[in-house]
This record gives sequence, structure tokens and C-alpha cells, in this order.
Amino acid sequence: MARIVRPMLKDIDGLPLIGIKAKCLGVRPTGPSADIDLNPPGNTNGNVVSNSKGLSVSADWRTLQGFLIPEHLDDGHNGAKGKNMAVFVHGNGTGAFAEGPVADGLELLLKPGNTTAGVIRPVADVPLTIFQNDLKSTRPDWEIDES
Amino acid sequence: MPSFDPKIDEAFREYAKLELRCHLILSAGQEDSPDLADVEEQMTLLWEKLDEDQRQCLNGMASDLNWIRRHFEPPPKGRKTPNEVSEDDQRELRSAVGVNWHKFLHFLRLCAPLSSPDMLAVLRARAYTAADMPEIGGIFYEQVIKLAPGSSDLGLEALTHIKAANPERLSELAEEIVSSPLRYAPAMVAIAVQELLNRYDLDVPTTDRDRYLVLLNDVFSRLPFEPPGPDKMLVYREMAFAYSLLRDEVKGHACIEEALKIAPENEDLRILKGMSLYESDTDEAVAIFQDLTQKKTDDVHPYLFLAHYHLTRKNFGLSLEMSRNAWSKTADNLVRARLLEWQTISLEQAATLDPSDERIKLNVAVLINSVQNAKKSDWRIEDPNRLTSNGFGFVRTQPPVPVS
Repeated sequence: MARIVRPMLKDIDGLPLIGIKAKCLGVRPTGPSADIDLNPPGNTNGNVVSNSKGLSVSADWRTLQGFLIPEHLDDGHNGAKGKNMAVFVHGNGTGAFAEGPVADGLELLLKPGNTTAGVIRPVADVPLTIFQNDLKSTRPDWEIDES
Repeated sequence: MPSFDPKIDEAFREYAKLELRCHLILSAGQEDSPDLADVEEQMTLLWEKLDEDQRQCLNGMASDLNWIRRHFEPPPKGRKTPNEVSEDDQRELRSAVGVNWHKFLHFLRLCAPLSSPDMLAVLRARAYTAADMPEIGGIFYEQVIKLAPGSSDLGLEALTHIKAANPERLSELAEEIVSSPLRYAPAMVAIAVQELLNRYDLDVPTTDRDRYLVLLNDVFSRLPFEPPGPDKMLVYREMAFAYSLLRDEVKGHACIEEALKIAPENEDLRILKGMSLYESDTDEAVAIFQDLTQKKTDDVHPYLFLAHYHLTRKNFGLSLEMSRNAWSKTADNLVRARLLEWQTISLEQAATLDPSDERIKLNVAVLINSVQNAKKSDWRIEDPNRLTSNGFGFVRTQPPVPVS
């Protein structure tokens, strides 16, 4: 399985914080910084369109912006300043960062022209609640791994 | 290895600005504010437009700013002790000075354990300023003031930079400095007072005046114990301005004299001395101005004051000559208006030089009338033919002598 990395806010149990804000396990459904397209547009009772959008992930936290990297990883060069965050890796994956299934109903898609950044998206158009629940179901599979 | 030569385009500058905004929000302890989320969102959009070199420089800058919020502690995963710094890194750092500031900043991060926090702050301040990122430089200069409040030279460097890069911030810092003056080098207090006095259009209210005089007098008594140097001369000069605004001419003059002890030939100071003496010791002031005009100074003030001096003594010719010199050395409308006013006063002499000329009398009357009624004068100007026939010499009367 691909090694999928996503630094996220850490909940009190040490697992990713579920939420619909940035840095959480979950997508922002609406607004200018929405992570997904909805059909009908902007309708949270509608379906998530299975396209190039979804939950942002990467192959390596070192390629990210400073505010997405936990502050305790600041090496004086990477600008790490994320508060209460940890680097999570999905499913103890060690494989190459490549497109493919991630969990039930979810798959990894690379961002266009990019081999180190991608999104986790629904495999087909599904109601928003289903997609958020599918993501939430992966919560126990995310492990802190800051290597 | 990065190129250390990032493309400084719109996206780079905008991202740097947002990074600074992010730093200020976090410094204010507002990490949950919607503002921060908004800034981070904008940064994410810009990130896609940046190449690898640009990203590396900007993330490095973010780490430098983190250092400030970490109260100058080394980065958790970075170098912490001098023995972790290699000779090669130090060599690279030295070779980048004045050549490639982004490279310098990179190696400064690697060599950071070798510098004290105040030196690290000032080196970063200078490097960001030299790399055409004065706002970031200003943030580090602010840290210099915090870390080395007793250092005159570093403090003056910092305040001078902040004044140029962010005048509003200088006012805030000046308030901080004068609220605990003994914490700071006297030079910094002097500059802070001068800065705060600049916000008064006219007279300083008595309560403020008394407060500032106490501060300046304290600085005046502490300054002799500061090391000598050009900065000290500048401080005395600023204090002279400040005392002048507070209408304490005696102390203002004493400051100029102290400054002149350090730099006796300094033209600015001599002009300042002349100006401060012009009312109380006119002869000495005029002697200074005459010396400076003979040395063809480019400063307008000596000419301006001499124009005034000669006008008051009805030396109209000399006044006009000085006015013309002053005119050529300034584009300031207020000064030029005054020069024209003085030239107009010289009109009086026109009537006395040729009392029979009715047109001159008429023009003087027209001028007086137009000023009284605030309208444009209807001048009577002599015909060109009369001008030449009066022997003003604009027309050659003899053919040129051929050169054999």
C-alpha cells in the first residue's frame, strides 16, 4: 500500500482530529477553500463529485508549507509552525506514492503533473455524509510517523 | 543543493508578505483566528505558483520568524551548539556576504549556534534588508532593540531602518522606549523623543513639553559616557532639533556645539549652528553662512538666510543674488514663495532708483492693489524696443569683429 502522509491536528487520544476545517481528518465541503465539488453546487445534502478534488495528502511532509508541518519538526529551514499537529501516515503503508485504493470507497489520485501530492477522493459520486464517514472510518489507520 | 537565487516575482513577494502576516497573528497569540485560516488559504494558493528555490527560501524565512516566536531558542530539530557547525559552512557563509543574500541567510541558519541572539538578529535584519525585503528586515531590527537595548549603534541602526521601512511602527516603538527610558541607550531615547515630537504640527502642549524636556535632559547628561563616534554626533544633532521644537534654544545650541566637537567641519551642523544663532548672534551666523556660500554649498539654507539678512539691511542687490542662488538649490514651493516675496519687496528699490519712471510707480501700485484684493496684477511691461533703446544691450549695436 502507498505511504500516504498527511500532517493533521492531533486529538486527545493521539489520533487525527475529525473535522471540516483545514488540518483535520475530513474535507471542507463549502466556502472559498472547499476541498471538494458538490452536486448540486454548494448543497451539503448533495453528492460529492468524484473528480480531482478531495482530502490533500502527500508523499513526504518535507515538501509541505511550514504551517502544515508540526512546529516541533522545525529544523531551522522548513518553517514548521503547526500547533498541536503531528505527521500521520495512513495504514502503515510503505509502498510508492501511487494512485490506487486507500480504504472502502476511497482512492488516491495524484494531483495533475505532480508525483508527490495527491488527494483522497470517493471512488464514485456519493453523498457528502458518506464521504465524510468513509474518511472518519480511516481514523484508527493513521499513525504518527515523522520519519 | 538549492540555487539560492530565487526568482523574486509577484508570487514570491506576496507569499513573503503573507508569511509575515502569519507571524504577526501568531505573535499576537491569535492562532485560532479566522484571519490566520484565511492567510494560510491564500498561501496555499500561491504555493502552487512557486518553484523549488522559491519555496526553500520562503520556508527558511518562516523558520527565521519562528525563532523570534520561540524567544530566540534554536530550532527543535536544528543545530544547537557551535561544535555542530562545520568549517565549510562558515566558509560558505563568509563567501556569501554582499554577493548572495539568500545564500547568506541559508548558511546563517546553519551557523546560527555561533552567534549570540542579538548578533543573529542584526545579521538577519541586514541580510533581509539587503535582499530587498525591508519589512522582514524591520521585524528582525525590532528584535535587535529588544535584545540589545543598551547598544547605541545597533539601536540607531535599527531605528533608522524601521523609520524608513515602517514609520507607523517607529511611533509605537518610540512610545515603548520613552515609557522606560533607562532601559535603553540614551541615543535611542533621543531618537524616540524626536520621533514623537514630529507628530505635533505646531506648539507642543506644556505637559508633553515638560515630559520631553525631562527625557532629553536625562539623555544629555548620559550621552558623554557613551563611546564617541559618528552616531553620537547624529544623536546630538537630533537632540538639537528636538530642543528647538521644545523652544529650549540654549540646550539646543549646547547640543550643536557638542556635535561640532565631534565633527567640526560637518556642513549640516554648521548650518544648524548658523540657524540657531541667527537671531541671538547674527554676526556669527552670517559669518558661518558666508563661509559656506563661498565654499559653494549645495544646501539652500545659507543662501536663504543671507538673502533675508541683506534684505533686512536693504542691500537689495546682494539679497537678489542670494535669492537667485537659493532658488536654484530648491524646488520646495514654500521656500520659493518666500524668495519671490523677498524679491517683490526689493521692488521698493526700483521706485527709488528711478523715481521719474511712472510705469514703475504704477506697477508697485498695481501690486499693492492686487494683493489687497487678492487678484492677479495687470502688469505694464516695457516694450522690447524701448528696452534696447535704453541701452540694456540685448541687441548688438556693432557688427562682430572678424577673427583674422
